[in-house]
Amino acid sequence: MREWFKRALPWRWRRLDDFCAEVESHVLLEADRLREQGLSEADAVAAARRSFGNATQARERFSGSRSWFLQSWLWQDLRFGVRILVRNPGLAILATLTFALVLGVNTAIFSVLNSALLKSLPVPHSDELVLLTDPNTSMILGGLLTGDRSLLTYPEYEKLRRSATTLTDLCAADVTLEHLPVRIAGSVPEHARARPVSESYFSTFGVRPAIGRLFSQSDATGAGKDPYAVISYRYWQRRFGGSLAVVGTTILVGKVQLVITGVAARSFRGEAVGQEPDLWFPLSMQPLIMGLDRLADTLPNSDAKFMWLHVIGRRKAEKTIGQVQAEVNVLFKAVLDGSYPASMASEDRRNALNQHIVVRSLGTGVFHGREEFSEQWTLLLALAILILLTACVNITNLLLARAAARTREIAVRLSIGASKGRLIRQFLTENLLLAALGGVFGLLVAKLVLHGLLSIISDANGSFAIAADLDWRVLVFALSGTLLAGLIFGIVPALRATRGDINEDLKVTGGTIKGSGRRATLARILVVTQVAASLVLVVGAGLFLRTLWNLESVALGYPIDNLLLIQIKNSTGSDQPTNLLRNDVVQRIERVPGVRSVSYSHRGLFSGFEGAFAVEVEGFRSNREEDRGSTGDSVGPKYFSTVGIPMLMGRQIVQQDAAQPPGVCVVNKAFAGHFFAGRNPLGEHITTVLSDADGKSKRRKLEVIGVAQNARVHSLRGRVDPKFYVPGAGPWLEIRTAIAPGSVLTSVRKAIAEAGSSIDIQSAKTLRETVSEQNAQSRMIAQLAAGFGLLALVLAATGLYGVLSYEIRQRSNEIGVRMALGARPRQIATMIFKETGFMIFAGATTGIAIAAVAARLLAAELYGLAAPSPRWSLASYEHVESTIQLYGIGAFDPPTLVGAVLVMFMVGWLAALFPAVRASRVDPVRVLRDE
Amino acid sequence: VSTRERLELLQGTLDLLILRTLLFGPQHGQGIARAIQEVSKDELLVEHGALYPALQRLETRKWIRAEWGRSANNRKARFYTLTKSGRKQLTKEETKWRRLTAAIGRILEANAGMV
Repeated sequence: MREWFKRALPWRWRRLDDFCAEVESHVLLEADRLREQGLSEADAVAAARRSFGNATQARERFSGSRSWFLQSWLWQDLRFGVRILVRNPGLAILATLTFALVLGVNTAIFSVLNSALLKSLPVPHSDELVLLTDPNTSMILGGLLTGDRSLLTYPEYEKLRRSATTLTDLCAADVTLEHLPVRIAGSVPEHARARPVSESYFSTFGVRPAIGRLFSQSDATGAGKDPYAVISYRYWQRRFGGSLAVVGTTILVGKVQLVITGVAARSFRGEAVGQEPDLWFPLSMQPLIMGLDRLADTLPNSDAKFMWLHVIGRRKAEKTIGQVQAEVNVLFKAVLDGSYPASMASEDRRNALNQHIVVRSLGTGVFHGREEFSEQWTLLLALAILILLTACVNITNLLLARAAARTREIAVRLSIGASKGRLIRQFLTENLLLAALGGVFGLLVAKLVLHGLLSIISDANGSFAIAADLDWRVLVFALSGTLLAGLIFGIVPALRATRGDINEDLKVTGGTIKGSGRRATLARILVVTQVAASLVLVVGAGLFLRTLWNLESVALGYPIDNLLLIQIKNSTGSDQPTNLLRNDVVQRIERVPGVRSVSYSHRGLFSGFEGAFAVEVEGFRSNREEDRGSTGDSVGPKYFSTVGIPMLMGRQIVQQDAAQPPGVCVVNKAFAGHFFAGRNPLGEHITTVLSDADGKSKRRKLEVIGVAQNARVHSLRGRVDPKFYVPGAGPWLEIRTAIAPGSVLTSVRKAIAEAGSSIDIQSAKTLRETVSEQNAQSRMIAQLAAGFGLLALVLAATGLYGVLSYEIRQRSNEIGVRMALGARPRQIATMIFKETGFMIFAGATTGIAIAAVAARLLAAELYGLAAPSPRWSLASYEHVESTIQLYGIGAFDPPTLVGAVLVMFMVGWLAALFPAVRASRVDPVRVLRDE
Repeated sequence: VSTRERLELLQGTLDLLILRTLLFGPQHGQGIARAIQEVSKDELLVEHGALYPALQRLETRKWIRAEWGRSANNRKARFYTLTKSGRKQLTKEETKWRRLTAAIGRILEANAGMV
């Protein structure tokens, strides 16, 4: 074997000692010849050696001449590098750990970004998958739309599937992940995350079963005739222990028995980022399982559509997305023509027919809030990279100090014939070795940090969870980070160390180093850079902390404490908006000791769901789009007094108003100001389209009976939108308590259970918890930014400390002379503080300039992020807001800047304290004697 | 050691000289250097720092082969032997060299005539 290698790669087997033996034999042969010419034994050998010339250089050139020479010198350098590191383990450990920490943070943040935004779906030919709906939509829409369609109805999907020729396959999936009650093998009831999908779902994606089979188009034999379920790999492992016997067993979902036909492949998590279902079942089973039939074309007795499906197709390899879009829109036009009757109001029909499908590449999947997520994490990554650079500067400084300590060694090596290139290579190898060590530990740190980050991102109830791991992209990221950093902190000390004047450097002895002013200047520049970068990070942290503080102290317009919010649901899993809240439930809860008052509403408080309605207001004319609608909610009796929203005029909604059909409404101050400017709204009328309890949509004329104070019910940011409240029902109970809400929760649960077995509690939280969750993202950003700021301060402080202590050692002569000439210790310390102050000042000025420019860029970026105006006539839509937006302050915030500069000076001088004290204790007598 | 000025070897000619020297049979590094120096009547001095990398290079290209052996005065030495492909290479290099020197010669002659 070895022989074979020897023949294949001969140069790799010529060892250096073999070459040295050859050189030795050459010298001896030459000496023999000289002896024959009459020289003495000793002279002959010496002359032979002399005539051979620089044997060391020959050896190095020998090493360089081998094609796989990398082997040899890299190995040599590495061995030497390890020796150097081991000789000074403190420095090696400090540098490695610093680098590992910041690289780990960077890598973890990148892998979150990677898994949510870069990774395409793990299915065959994922580039062929196209999305016909809006990937940013996350909730069912009911109503009339115009323009680009965000979701499709079931009949629309079916017609497209049958006729599209540019696609090989088309499938549909419910936009929301349904939490449905399930029973497995007669065990206690539990909940599972289920997603109704078309029968063609798995074949479109090209997913293979882990075991069993996946349902397919051939199972589609009619509504309710394919009671099958496919479970996810993780649900199979978690709930069924990975048992093979699961195939063929049944699972009770709602009131329907579904047969589990198989388990989806392990890598497949569905089309929605972060929302992996436990099980999939066919769309045709949806009406039986969930009650309300979503398969129909329109809502009962209305032209409003029930749009709830994301539609995903696989295009034929030779067709472009443009061709698919063209064909699909021709088909869609025909579908629309047939589904909006001519009896509609002509303007409504014109709007309704003006709808288009935008076809996009499915890419990484559908992801509601992708933009917010990507902004947030890109910003975090930018901050983390800044930290990485700061850390690199820090390590560079450490290594510069070490290189300076090796000045003499380097001078010696240069003078005995080492080439500069060779020395630079040696330095680079050593420092890259450090970086590589840091990189390896960095990956470990990344694993830990990632774990933490994922648990911050994920919801408590597991409805949003990102599975991020360290895949090849992440490894490439970490590797390039390591290499880049290694080059940064490798090349500077290497160049600096080999630029010296040999003659001067050879004179260097022990403690007194002269003429290293160059290094000191470079080190100072690096420290100033570091202070600047740290200041930017501290300013960033300050801005986000202030934003969080502002958000947490926003006035809601009603008391935040002692309000319990409970969402209830029909225990059959039906999404039928039946009037669950019969009065006896409310009365039962009101009888619980500690409860003061109870009411209910359709959209709750900070539930994330807002309703928007087209409205016409008496005596108000405008053609502007934003004047055509308002947000609205249906609320129970005593809603305003229970929640604590003060009435400014008129009266609140009471029991008598709840009689169907609704004929009255309360508007908020913003509504009154916008639509009734200067008029008394009481007794005026507004007209809107509302749906009854049975789902029928009707135009209603409502008399304004009261004006309520503006209340923040969905967002802490921005202005309060105009809003009107009509009497009605809903799944959200608002319970005002006299004592801490937590202490009445158990009794309230019992009261609800006694009211009827068909009511399930979906969630129960206090208002304070809900608002705090609302700020969870802002809090996470603020915490991470604060952590980065702190880390930057520590790095800047250690950098300053390192440079100062090195300088003081180096300047002990100067200080000694000054003291001998009468300078007091206090004056010496003041001098050090002054010089430190100057460095901080230079860094802070640069930092403020950078922060100001960044603020301008960031402001421009955020300005472009104006909230999309809701399209009126949607029964409900999801409220989205940008979490990186600052609140209550501008990006250029003088108090934050001043604060950051003050912190910087404090930390800087703290770092200077110890070196300054040491400088003031220099003993002039000893210094002068050494001299 | 002579102090008179020696000719510097032209780039790439060392390989040719080594191959040519080895045409007369296996030889070790010192022997090659000595031979070049003697045959050129001390006009060419082979720098050892260049000789060994050149030998290494030729060996890598398989134009010469090396093995340890004993010299005439019984010293251990690494002997180099010309291989078959080395022989071919030598012919090629020699032809090239002759053409080059002939061409340079013609130019120099022509110029001499003009002056």
